[in-house]
Amino acid sequence: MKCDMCKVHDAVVHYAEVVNGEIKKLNICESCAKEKGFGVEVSFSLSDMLGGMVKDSAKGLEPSQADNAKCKDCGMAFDEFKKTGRLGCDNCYVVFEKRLISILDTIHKHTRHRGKTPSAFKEKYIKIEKIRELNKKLKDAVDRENYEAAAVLRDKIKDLNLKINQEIPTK
Amino acid sequence: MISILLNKNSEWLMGDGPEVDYVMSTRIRLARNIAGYPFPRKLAIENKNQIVKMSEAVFSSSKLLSSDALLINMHEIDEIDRQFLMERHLISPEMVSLGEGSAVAISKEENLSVMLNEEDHLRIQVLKSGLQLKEVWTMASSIDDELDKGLPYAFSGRFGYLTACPTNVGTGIRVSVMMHLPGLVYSKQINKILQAAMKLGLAVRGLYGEGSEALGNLFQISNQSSLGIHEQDIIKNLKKIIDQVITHEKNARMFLLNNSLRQLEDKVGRSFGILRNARIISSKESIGLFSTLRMGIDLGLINDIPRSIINQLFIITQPAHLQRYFEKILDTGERDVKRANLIREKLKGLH
Repeated sequence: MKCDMCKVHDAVVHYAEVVNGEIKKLNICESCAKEKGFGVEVSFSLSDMLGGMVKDSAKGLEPSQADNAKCKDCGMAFDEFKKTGRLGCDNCYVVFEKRLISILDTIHKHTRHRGKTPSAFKEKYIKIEKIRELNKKLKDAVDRENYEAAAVLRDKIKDLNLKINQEIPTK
Repeated sequence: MISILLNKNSEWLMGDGPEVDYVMSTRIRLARNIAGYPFPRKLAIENKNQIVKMSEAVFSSSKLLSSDALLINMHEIDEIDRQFLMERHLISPEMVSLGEGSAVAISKEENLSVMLNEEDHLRIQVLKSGLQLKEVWTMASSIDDELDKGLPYAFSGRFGYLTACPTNVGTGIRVSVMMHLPGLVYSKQINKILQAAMKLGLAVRGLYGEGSEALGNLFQISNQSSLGIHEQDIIKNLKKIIDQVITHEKNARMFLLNNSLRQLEDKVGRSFGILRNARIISSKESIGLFSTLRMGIDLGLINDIPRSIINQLFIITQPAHLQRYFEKILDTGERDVKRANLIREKLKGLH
C-alpha cells in the first residue's frame, strides 16, 4: 500500500478517525507521518487541557490578576498560561495565586501542600503551620468573646511571624 | 557513551521482585525546580547550562549517584541515542526532542536517573522491577534529600514544590506501576477495571507514558493528584488499587486456565512459533506476541524461557535499540527484518 500523501513510499502508519459516525482512514509513510506529527508522539494529556480549565473571567479582578497581567520575574502573562498550561517561574505562583487556586482545586481536589519539605524551609514551615493553628484558635477565642486568651494568642502569632522574617529574608 | 548501556540489562528488566507475574516495574518520579531561575521553557541556554553545572557538582557528592554514574548532555548525542534512552525509560519522550542545556544523570544499575531541564529543572526518577513501592520511594526520597542539601529548591508553604505544570505541584510526585494484564484483556474485563481506576482519580497509560498506546497488554497506572496528600498516602492509595487489579488479573487467569486451557496453550504455542520462525516482524506484532509468551511463562505453560529474556526483548526490539545493536541506520522495513533476526537469535535453543 502506497502512502496517501506522497504516493511514493510504502504506508506504515495507519490512522483512523471517527467523524460523524463514519470511519475515515489515512495510510501514510514514515516520513510523511513524521512531518504531520502522526504516530510519532501523539500526546494529549491533562496538562494539555489545563488552559481550558480557566473558566473564570478576569472581569472584576484586580489589575494584577488580569489576563494580560505579567509576572515580573519571567515576563509571562496569564494569557500565555491559558494557552500552554505551563507557568514561567516560581514567582508565577505568587503573582497568579488567586486564579490558580480554582484550577488546583479542580485538578487535585486540594489547594494546600502536605508532605515533604526542603531542609531550608523546614523550620519556617513548622512555624507557619503553628501560626495557622494559632490563627484558628484565635478565631475561636474571638467568637467566644474570650479576649484575654485572644490577646495571648495574638502575641504568640506576632512573635512567630517576627522569627520567620528574621530567619529567612523574604524574596 | 551509549554503547556502555547496550550490552547490559537494566536492573528493572531482570524480571524479579514481588508480584512480578503481574507487575513489570514500579517507578516514582519527583519534579523539582531551583529557586530564582525561571522554569526551563523560559530559561536562556546559559542559565540552563548553569543549572546543569550546579546539579553536576551536587551529584558528585551524592552516594546514590556515585562516580560511576553517567552524565549525558542531550546535544552531545544524536536523536537515535536519545530515543535509545527513552526506550529504556531513562528519559521521557519529551526529552528526546531537547538539545543543548538539557542533560541526564544515570546510575550504573539504571535504576536511578535525574533529568535536567526537561519540563522542570530536575526530574528525579527511580525504577525497579516488580511491585516495590516502598523501596522505590525510599530511594527517590533519599536522592531528593541529597540534592536538597546542595540545591535551593523552589518551594512555597502553600503550594509545596513549585513546578512548571500545575498538575505536578505540591509533592511533585508521580508513582507509576507498569502492569501486565493479559488475563483481563482476553476475558474482556479490562475496560471495566481501568474505568474504575480512572474514576478513583488514577491515570492509565501505555508502555511509554503519556499519549502512548497500551501495547502488549501493558498498562501504566499512576496517581493524578499531587497536591494536598502526603507522599506516603498517595503511595498507599495507589497500592490498594494495584492490589485489587492484581486479584482481578489472578482470577481472570485462573478462569482461563480452568475453562480454556487448550485455547490458552494454542495461543501461547502459536506466539512462540511465530517469534521463533518469523523473518519479518513489526514492533507492534512482536510486542503482542511477547506479552502472550510472558503470560505462558507466568502460568507455567512454558518452563524453559527466563522471564528476563522476554522483558529484555520488549526493549531491545524497539527501533533505536535495533539500530544501535546492529550499528546501522535502519528504516522501518529493514528494522522489521533485523528485529525478526534478533528475536530468533535470543530464543534459539529454548522450548
